[in-house]
Amino acid sequence: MPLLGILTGYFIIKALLLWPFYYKLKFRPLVVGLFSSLAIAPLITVLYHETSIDFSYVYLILILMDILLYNFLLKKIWWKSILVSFLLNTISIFYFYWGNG
Amino acid sequence: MMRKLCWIFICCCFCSVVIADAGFGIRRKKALSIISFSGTENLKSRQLIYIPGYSYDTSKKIHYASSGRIVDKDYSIYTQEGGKNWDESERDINLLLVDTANNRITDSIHLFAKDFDLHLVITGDAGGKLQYKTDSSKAVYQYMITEDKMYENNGSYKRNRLIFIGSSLIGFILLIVLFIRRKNNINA
Repeated sequence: MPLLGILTGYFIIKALLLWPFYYKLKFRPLVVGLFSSLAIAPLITVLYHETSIDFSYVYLILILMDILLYNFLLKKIWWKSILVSFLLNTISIFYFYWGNG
Repeated sequence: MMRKLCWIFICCCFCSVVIADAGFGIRRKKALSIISFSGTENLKSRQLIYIPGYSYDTSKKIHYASSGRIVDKDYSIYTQEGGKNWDESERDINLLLVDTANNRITDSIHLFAKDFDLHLVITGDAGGKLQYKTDSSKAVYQYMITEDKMYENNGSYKRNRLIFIGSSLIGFILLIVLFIRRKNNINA
């Protein structure tokens, strides 16, 4: 999948869909979503095509990473971060598979 | 508290179902293999005919001798690059050596192109047998920056791969900066 395509998709999923959950923090969820998309999307594309890592582990690591990010960079509400992280990562992994075949 | 736990439980159940159904073991797109040829001018009164693996049936060899694609020096074969409906047999490359005078098959070669680009150097066709040697090099995945097909297969994969890795690094650095600034704000 092209870089711009995956970054756009990940920004929509991980930033725009994240915003309603933390809308009181104004633009901060968008910034966190943008930066985490930039960090994750190209990396997992390279991992997907060049390694034979089981992607269910990658999926779980991404969920854990986002839980920490939302807690430390947004608001320390554990149950909400777990819920949002599960939801957004599930959508994003489907998008990733759709794009990469 | 109970409400939050219920939410987390429902979420976990949903994700378990998704993991079970998503088919995480689906076949990945591999790098496409390119098969190129040189030395076809060394063939005397014979032609090399290419038959894609998925349509090849040994009982119909005579039919292929007249209907297959003639291989010349500028011809390259690209194996399909994968996807959900990808057929492994498309990696099979069948080549027939056909006598042009009587349309008779004198030799047949089978190659399997996976993970490697192949280059066939044809040296001759003595006794109706194709004489060749094969050079192979590791096939690479063609990373793209944009959707533009013009930028595919133009050898810029190394630069594009670096851009992928670089943008990921920038993302991680920005996240770390955000984290450090947050700590400073708290301390202030």
